Amino acid sequence: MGSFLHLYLPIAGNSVNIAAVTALGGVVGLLSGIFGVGGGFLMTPLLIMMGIPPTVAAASDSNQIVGASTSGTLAHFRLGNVDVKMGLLLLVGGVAGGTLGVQIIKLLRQLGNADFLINVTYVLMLGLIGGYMFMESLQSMRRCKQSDTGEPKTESGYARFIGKLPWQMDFPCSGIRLSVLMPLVLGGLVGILAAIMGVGGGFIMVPVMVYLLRMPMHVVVGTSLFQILFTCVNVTIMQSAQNHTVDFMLALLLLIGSSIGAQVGAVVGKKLPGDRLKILLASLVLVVMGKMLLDLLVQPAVLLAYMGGH
Amino acid sequence: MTRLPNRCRVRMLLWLSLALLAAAPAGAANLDVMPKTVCIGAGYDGAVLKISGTVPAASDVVLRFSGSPADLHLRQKEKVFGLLWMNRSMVTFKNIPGVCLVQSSRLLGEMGPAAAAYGLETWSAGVKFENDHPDAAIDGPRELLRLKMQEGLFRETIGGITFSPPSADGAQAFSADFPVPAALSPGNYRLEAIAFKDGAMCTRLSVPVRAELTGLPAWLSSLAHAHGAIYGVLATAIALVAGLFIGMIFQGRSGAH
Repeated sequence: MGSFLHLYLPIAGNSVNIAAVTALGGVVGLLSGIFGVGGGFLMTPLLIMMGIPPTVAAASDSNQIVGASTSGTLAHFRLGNVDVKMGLLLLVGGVAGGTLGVQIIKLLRQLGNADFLINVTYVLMLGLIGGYMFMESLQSMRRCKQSDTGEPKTESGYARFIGKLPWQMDFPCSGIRLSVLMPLVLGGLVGILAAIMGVGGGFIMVPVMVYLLRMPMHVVVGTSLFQILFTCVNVTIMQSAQNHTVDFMLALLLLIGSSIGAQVGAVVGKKLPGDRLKILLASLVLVVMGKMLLDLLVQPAVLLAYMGGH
Repeated sequence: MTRLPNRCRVRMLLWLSLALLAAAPAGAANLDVMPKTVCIGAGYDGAVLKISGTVPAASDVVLRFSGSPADLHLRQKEKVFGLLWMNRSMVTFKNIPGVCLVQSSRLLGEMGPAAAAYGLETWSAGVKFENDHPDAAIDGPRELLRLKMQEGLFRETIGGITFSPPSADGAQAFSADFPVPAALSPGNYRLEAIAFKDGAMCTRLSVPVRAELTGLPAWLSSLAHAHGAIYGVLATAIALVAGLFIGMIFQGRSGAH
């Protein structure tokens, strides 16, 4: 029954088709390169559908994101799209928020409400972010044709508020001036949500950078990948040491596909206008949200599930 | 009089059984399986066990491959606020084998009630379970069967058992190809061959089968479980190097600065 196209995964405890897993990695890597998201919110459910246990799927995905985001960060770094200063501040906030989020989810698991919170957070966050990005990008595309970044140019109440915050700092790579508190606090909030949802948080971080930190879209993508790289290094080591759920063989297969996909994605992303990029990401987020909502509303085929899955 | 330890008594019983088998007529029932150890290496994608044996002539055969029973803890999906399906209460099933594969020479129902008891549906009816939220109880055994069948770890198939012509001593040889799934966990299993004649069980034989990790999967599994932190650092380092390597290949091709 064994064939050269199949590989046995010792931690997942199952065999997979090498071509199918590599192709899956390639598609998600392409999206990662284009949009600057780790792809965890897409990859993990797809791996579960292939028969990988949920805990192993999520942890191994973090491992492959390390490789894919290294490749993607390098590609964006060469194009001058990584704001290292901003990325490091977001990372500090993200690590602190992630640690707090892990404690919150541990407490909720003890109380028995974790699954409910995780599912509802997923649908709300995906719906909110996807819906807002979609509408905003659509309006922006209609409104002005001269800017390819699509940031609002009017001095809003929010802009005045962030301008008054203390410890203002220049971020030359992004061409903005902001309080240090902004990336720290927002990074922390994304970290909490990412820990609750069990993902890298790229799909939350990208809209936060675009709409709340007002960074140009192409710098957002590179900086997001830079920050995700460090987050996933931490998650991979923690998951391996504490839960033994990282399947390196699975991660390596996904990585081969995703690293190549990320490189192609970085080139494709550079050619797409900012608004179109945002509307595509918004559509993707909304499709995933729709699928998750459907799963919540329609009676499942089997009314039992293994512990640890969402 | 000193009592023999349990292990000694089991050994004595085994030797006694073997001696009785040896003293049995030439046409006595027997069972063999190849391989006796399923090696789970890097290329493993399930395996086929070659089963052969002898049963009384004109009998039907049921083959059953199962693992050691253990308690299984699962989450039950329930509707929250009458709208959303969520994993909620915990259900504990008692003495459930991780794998249970049944293959029979013809429909179990046609062999009589004794054989029908070996069917998964009949087996599941006897499964005991506890629900920590009894108000929302579901048909646990049926759902468990659905879950396990969906994973390919429980299976019931008909046919695929070939019989040779009966011999003069009233015995009949049989052989079968018995596939075991890719998701088979390393451990000890038991293959049973049960023969039924005229609606009653006439022979029951069993042989142990072992599944074990070999080669790269064995090495990775032992590293991951015994030295988790080192495994994590290695996995991260290899991913980083692979990402950098692929990044550099693309840099060279695109001729970027």
